[in-house]
Amino acid sequence: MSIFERHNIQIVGTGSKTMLLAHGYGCDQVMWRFLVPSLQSDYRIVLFDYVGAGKSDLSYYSRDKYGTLNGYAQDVLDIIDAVSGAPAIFVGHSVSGMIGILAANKRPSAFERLLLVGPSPCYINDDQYVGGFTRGDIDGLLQTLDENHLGWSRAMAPVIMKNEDRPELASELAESFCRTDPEIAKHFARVTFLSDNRADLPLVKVPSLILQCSEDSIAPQSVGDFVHQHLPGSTLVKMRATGHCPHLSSPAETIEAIKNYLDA
Amino acid sequence: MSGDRTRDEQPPEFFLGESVEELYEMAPCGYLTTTIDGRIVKVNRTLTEWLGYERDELIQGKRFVDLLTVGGRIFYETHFNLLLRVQRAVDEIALDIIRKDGRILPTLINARQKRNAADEPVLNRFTIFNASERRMYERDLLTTRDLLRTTLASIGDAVIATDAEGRITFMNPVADEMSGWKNNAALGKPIEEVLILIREDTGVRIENPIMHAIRAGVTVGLANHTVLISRDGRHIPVDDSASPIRAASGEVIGGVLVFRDISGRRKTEQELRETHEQLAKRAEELRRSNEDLSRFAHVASHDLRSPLSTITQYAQLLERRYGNQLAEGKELLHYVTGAAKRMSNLIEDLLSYAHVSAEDTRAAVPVDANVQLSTAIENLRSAISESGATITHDTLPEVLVDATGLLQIFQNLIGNAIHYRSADAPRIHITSVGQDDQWLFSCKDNGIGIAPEFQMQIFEPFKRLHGPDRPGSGIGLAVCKRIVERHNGRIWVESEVDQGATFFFTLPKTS
Repeated sequence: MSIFERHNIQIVGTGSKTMLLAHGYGCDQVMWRFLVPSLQSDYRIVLFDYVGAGKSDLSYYSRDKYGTLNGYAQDVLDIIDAVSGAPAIFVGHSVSGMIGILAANKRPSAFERLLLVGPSPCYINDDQYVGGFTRGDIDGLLQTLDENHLGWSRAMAPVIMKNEDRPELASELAESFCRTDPEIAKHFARVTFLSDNRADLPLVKVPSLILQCSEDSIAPQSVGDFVHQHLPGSTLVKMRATGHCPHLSSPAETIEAIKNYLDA
Repeated sequence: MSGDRTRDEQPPEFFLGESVEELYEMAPCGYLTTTIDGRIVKVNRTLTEWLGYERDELIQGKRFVDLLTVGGRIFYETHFNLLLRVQRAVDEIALDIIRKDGRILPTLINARQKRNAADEPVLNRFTIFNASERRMYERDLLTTRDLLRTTLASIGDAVIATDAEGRITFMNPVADEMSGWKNNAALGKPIEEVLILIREDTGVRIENPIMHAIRAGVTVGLANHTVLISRDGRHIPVDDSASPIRAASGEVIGGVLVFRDISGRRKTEQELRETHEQLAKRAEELRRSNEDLSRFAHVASHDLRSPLSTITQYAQLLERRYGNQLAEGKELLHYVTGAAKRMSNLIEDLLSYAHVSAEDTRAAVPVDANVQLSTAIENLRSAISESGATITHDTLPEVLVDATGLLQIFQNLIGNAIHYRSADAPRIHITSVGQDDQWLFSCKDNGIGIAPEFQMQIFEPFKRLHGPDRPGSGIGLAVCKRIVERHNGRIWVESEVDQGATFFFTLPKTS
């Protein structure tokens, strides 16, 4: 099994520079679908699924390796090695922001830029630090996951949607999105939301961009400010887009922010 | 009244004239519409009543996520909202909604995304069903599932379940580990493809007992000496049984196989066998080395005797011939003969100790203890009369022992009692009492006694508590111990300084 199959790696675009798009917790590479069309003329875009997500090879999942974000960071380095000889631009959503930072601290030379979409180095409140959540909240998430995985095949597996207006979309949308094995989803949730990578921020040597949404209930404004303050060489862009997924809710604004930063 | 009656008499069709608005507001489910940002812009009356909010409180600034628990909010941002954006539709998501009074309303939610002409999303629509009852059952179900899972994960045996065709529907972690099929890789596969069983002696493949159990509808145990070949090629000896799984109707709907790795048990058995053999070998070696030692002591003692008797003879000759010329030298000559005498005694003792070892194989026979005691007293007559000792005894039993051994024991114990007497004349009493399959003998004296700290070491060879002013080489009690232990008995002493001593020993009964 090659690394391409293991991570369902897809490469699109005609640009010379490699741009790696790393999905966050809860979904897979499908989440980048609204950005890819606008970026593929300028970049060679590499899409992939983390092991356990989407169409990755589940048999490769190991609770040991993926017991910390370091296991995922190693995969990012392996993927960059497999697809590119040159340093890559890394775009990471949510938890992938921290995975990118860990990978960049392991080997700065693999990265040209880090683009972090809604990053949070620590989700749990700690003394003066406000991450936004308590451990009890994370237990609540695990219970919600459990209750929705009871009908997992329904909620997460193929949903065929009738689109009366645009029937050509129906077949495209018939495939499944954000498929995750229930046990892996719970484990990844625990690893993600209980991680604390605040101490890794000051070690970063790669220039970075932080995209901070307004009204993001996963990574609030104060967290974005914290990351900016502790991440050397970082640029903070506050977006009009609300929520936690600007690349889905406001792709145009997101593309603009990315291009502004990379073209500057 | 009459008006009411008129209305009551209206046919159902009359009521179908309700407005779309009435249908929306009074529907048996909640309706909620938000902007793409998640801000609530429209809500029906059913939902406001369920939640206890005024409509205005909801549509003036509240977001959909504000109604959710924190765990639900994370789920919404990481799953629900993404799916809705990508799929445009999400169905049957279980989320808890918080009422105005803080109480929780368990709900089941469907969502649709409305798009404009340019296919851009403009609104999210949610239908919200009260799922209080259903959630209770689901939680019961989850609890049961978790209990079953932790139980099956906790037991040490491997468990595999199949459907009626023998396709795997469940494997617990032990089964994963033993079979080498991990991460649910075996689910849906025929059990015969996953679990390869062979006979240990012939190596011939055997049918999985689960198939037999399903066919025959009975519990099937596995023949002994079955070996499981794992996916990664390990050979594991296993012990197992298979049973059919029956539906409530009695129909066989699957099978369950429980098996365990018995290589640990095999290994323990093997190790036990090896330890046993080693122990037997050691014992044999020890016996041989003891024999050699005894033989050596015997030979050495004999060989030491002849130069010693030469020394004694010549010393006596010297005294006889030149005694009157020696003056002070005569005293020195006494030391020589004295030392030679002591050495001769030592050799005697050494011989008797070695003798006990040599008697190793002699069979014990019924011996009258009274006879041996009389002989011992007879042998000690001069020491007894010199010390003025009184020796009494009760009638003693017959015991299973070698006669000389018992004689030596009595002689040593009585001899010691006389040697270690106090200022009073020795009084020695010998008696016995029956215990199960043995006799307990005791020999009580009124001598100087033995301090507790020395009571163990007096039974070691050549351990003496006193200087050369007291007679004896220090071998007597060691000999007694050897004789007693050779007959599977025990010997010990109970004593206090100046309070006399009682020696106890046990010997087997004759029956």
